[in-house]
Amino acid sequence: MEPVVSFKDVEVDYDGKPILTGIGFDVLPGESVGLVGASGSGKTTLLRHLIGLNQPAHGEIRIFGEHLNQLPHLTRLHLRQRIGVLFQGGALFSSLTVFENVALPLRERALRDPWIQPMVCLALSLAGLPPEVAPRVPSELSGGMVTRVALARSLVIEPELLLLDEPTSGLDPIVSDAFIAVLLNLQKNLGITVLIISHDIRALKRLCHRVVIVGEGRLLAEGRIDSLQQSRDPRVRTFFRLDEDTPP
Amino acid sequence: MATQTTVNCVSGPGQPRTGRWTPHRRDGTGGALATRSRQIKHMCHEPFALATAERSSGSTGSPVLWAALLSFADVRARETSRIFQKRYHLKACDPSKVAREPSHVMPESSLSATIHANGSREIILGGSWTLKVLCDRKRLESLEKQIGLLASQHREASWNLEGASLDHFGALVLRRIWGQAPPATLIRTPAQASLFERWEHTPPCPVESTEDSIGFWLKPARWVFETLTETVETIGLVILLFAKFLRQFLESLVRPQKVPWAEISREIYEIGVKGLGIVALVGTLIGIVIGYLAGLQLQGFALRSFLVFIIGVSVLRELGPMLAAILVAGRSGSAITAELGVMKIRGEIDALRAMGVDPAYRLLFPRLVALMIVMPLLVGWSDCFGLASGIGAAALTLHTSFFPLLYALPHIVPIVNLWLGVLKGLCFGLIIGLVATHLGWEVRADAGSLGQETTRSVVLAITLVIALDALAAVLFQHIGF
Repeated sequence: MEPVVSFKDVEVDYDGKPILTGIGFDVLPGESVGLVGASGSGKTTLLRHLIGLNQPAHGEIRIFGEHLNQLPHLTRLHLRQRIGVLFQGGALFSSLTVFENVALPLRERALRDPWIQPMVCLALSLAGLPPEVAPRVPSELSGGMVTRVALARSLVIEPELLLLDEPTSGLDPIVSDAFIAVLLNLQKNLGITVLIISHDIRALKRLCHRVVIVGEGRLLAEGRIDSLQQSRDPRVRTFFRLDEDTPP
Repeated sequence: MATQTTVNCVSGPGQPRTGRWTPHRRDGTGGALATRSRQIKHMCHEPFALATAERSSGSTGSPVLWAALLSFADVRARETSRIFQKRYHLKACDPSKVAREPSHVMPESSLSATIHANGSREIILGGSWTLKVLCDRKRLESLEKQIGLLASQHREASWNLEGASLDHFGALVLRRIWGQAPPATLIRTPAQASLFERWEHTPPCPVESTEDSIGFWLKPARWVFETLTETVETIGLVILLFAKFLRQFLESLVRPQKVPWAEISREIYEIGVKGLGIVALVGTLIGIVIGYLAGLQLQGFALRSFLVFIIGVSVLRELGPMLAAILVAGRSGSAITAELGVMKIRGEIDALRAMGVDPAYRLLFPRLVALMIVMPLLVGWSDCFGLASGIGAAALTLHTSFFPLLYALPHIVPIVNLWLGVLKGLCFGLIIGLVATHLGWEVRADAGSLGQETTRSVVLAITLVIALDALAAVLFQHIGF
């Protein structure tokens, strides 16, 4: 089975300084993989490389079997249309309503309004949002709702791969649980491949088949959370213990 | 075993299928497409570019049924071929390109109408019925039309979706085609059933209408009215802000230790010191224009004192303050509005309030004070360069020396013109600061509002400065001449 995402000996730098080296892991179709690590360890930068916003200093990143950075511009855009990305903080367009935010990727595909409207309503519903939020602007929404709208925007294009950058950060446990339930439901019904960056071990346990841990500028460990918790590597053990001790 | 005739319809970019294709030519006028290369081209671009009738081997159907089947297949073949020839003939894609760029390639959407030996009809969906394949507007419209036709011809047919890759959009397309009457028999996988179920449970969302009920010709009038009322309202609020500033200013005289001196100093540097270069440059250029043109006009006359008077009064009284004001409004006024706006959006102003700090005193007061200090100084700076370059240009034009003209300036131009210009600079600084800070305060939490208020800040400040300058010209008409 060809992996949806494949990192091979990737080196990532920031302002010319290497922050991650020798990164290599795969994400298979339909799989949910968590990418975890301490703050500032380069997780979001790795995600930006995966989308093709940045170029790795060394190594190869493949997405749907394609070397993203070697593709022609148009082909790269087509490929990105198969990926839903939820950025940290939502990154909603503040001057657009919720409806327009979610509809934007469909308008880019030149769909007409009669098709866009039901798709937006469905995406809002999938993200667990009531239809009444559609005419509101992002500044009128709570943090949890902003994240859900961002999820709806990433889902409206029916993505094959969903990239989530700390989707539950800043959410209370109830909203966070509800959000993970939405993701689980989507994964079960739509078979979407998910790569999620999170510090929320509880969420990762519920959602992910595997977890990849980065730290100290490299890949520390990879595997199921249960097995990683049995790891003898003190850095891995500390990471999980510390997180589990954190009150919900 | 059922005998079957199949009408295949293909939509979307795709790789050519192998093994199933049977070129069909029965009507002698082109019929279905004949060659392999053409098949590839059509499949790459066009919905329903292909239609064939094929007969499965070993058929044992009756002659009547067989005739009916062929007739049906021919009609479809001719129809789709005609559509293709009429609309899509010249749009062939390069199959080699498709092969080179596999990420482009999507499995096509296919639809076949099959009539079984027992008379039952079945419409079988295959390939990809997803947003990625169906999102092309023309393709979608054509597909909708064609499948609608097929569905209407076979109302009683069962639909088999099991072989198709379906997503929510594909399910939506089918729901639209079926309309109020979904097929009686629908064969689908549980995952596909859940897609349709989800659509049934999706409530419509309210979208505010953007339609304007007002007539087309009334729109400009309404825009003018709204702009005027908005401007008057802003000016009113600016005056209120001025009253607040005045109170703070008086308080600061009583309690100078509470004055935010560091912020004032920073703003003086940002607005004044960093603006010296551009003010000097523009002042010099305008001075050259005035001196050169005035020199040309008075070249043949012995009116050197008049020339010095023209340059002196115009620069000291009008051009110096105006230039400085316009530059500061464009450079610093906009920056103040944007900075305060961003602070408001990011919640920094609320944070100040939460810490018990008066944001008006911490953010507005230093900027206004700095502008009131800096503007007269910039006016003097602009005057220096304007006068020097103006007199220099005039001297060059009149072929005379520079210094006699310069030394004559204080004797010809009354000093009150300089003080008037400096006073104007102070007032202009206050206006620019009040407008910029007020509009920065008015920014709403969206990126569009920030841009709008910044633009308004520059435009309104310059307009008010010019208005005040006109008023000053009338009020002080007997002073300085």
